[in-house]
Amino acid sequence: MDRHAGDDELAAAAARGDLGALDTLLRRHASMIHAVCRRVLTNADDALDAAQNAMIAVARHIHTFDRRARFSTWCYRIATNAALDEARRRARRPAPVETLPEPRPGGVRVDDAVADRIDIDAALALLSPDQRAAVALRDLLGLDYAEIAAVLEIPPGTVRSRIARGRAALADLMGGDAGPEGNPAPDAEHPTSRAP
Amino acid sequence: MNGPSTPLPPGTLDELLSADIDGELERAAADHGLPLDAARAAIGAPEATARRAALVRARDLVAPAVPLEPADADRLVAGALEPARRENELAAARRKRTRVDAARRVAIAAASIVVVFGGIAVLARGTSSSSKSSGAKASSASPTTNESAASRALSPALGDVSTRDALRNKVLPRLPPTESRPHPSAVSAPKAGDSTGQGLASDAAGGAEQRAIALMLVGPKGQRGPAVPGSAGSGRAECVARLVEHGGVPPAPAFSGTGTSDGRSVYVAAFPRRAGGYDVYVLRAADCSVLRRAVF
Repeated sequence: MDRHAGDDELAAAAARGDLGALDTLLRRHASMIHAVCRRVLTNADDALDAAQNAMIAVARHIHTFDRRARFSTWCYRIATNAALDEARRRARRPAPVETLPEPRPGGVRVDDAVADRIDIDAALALLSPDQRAAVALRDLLGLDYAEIAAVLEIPPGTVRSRIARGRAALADLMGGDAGPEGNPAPDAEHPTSRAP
Repeated sequence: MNGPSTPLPPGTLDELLSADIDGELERAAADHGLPLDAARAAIGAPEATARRAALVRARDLVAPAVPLEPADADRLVAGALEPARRENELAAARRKRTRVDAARRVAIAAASIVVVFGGIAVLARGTSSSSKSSGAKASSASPTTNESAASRALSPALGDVSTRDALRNKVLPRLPPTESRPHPSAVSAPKAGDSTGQGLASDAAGGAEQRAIALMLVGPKGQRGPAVPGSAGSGRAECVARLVEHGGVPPAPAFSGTGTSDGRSVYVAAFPRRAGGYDVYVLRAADCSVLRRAVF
């Protein structure tokens, strides 16, 4: 199977038992599957576990992919569910002692936040897993609200609400509405629709 | 309905701002019952600008994907492919097993058909040979039938034997013709009417053996009474056995039966005589005592 073949074509071949096609498909989406898991779980080890479960599920259920949605959407849905399952399992385990970041009075620069990945994870950990999933699907993968609603199987209004609350919590954690004094993002004044 | 002059709750403003960042303001305003212009006015207010910037920063904080190390990617892919490979192998094995099972089923079915038809053939052969043998049996069944008739003739129920003639007429047809021949034990006729049985044959040698033989021949019918002559409540076999034991008669009767004599229940036993003919004893059923003895 051609490595440059489309997802649908690869998925069809994988469903017929073509392990090469499945290998290509999984490698193509491994990074984003892992990224979703990492954002939802905010822990590197848990994220790897969830990503592994998600990829096993993709391989096992590839024959059920019916092309009604994009393969990537179908794939991220599996990844999100795997991450949420892992989050539920983790909630039943004794929680490790973590040091949460204190809100910084002057806010933080985006560059600083990106560099300080542990702080991002700690900040995201303040959100509920459902909020993290909605935020990650929107801000990490660029899915629109309708796609997120389909992935999470919730109404679009609930998607919007979870994303807004998640962002608001992160914004409060970083210093509230110190936008103009901080370093606003270049597209802060314009609606953003990120490409996947 | 809220207008621009009415401050929106913080949560609603955050939601409108967040939706506007994602290009979903129109739907969000409608869901909150706000005209689009009013929603735009609300999020465009100076006090909302800073909040919008904070929300954008929050979005950008989440946006970058945490890079996946190539080694981790390889491990994840390999970990996902391994079960798929095993499932493929299992599926192949299942298909192979299904083929083998199908072949085995066909072989079993064929063997079953062979066995069934072989069995039918053997049975058919056996039936034809058994028909022949049954024919032979049928030809040899006549004596058996005759024997059955004789057995019916030797029915032990004699009815009334109160008189000598009645006894003769009922017993003799049940007895085979006799010829003069020696008997293993001497016969000493008991005195008729000797209820104590002391008049029975004194030669009681081999009495126990005789009694056992008599029991075998007569059959274990009736109650077993005490082994003393004249005791009450004995069955036919027991009475005959006592007669054999104490009466000096041959070890086995040629015939024994039941009947009545003067309204009393009796047993009748006939023993072949060495000189020919039969000694016929009429025993009272109540106590095995000898009521009469006759020689025919």
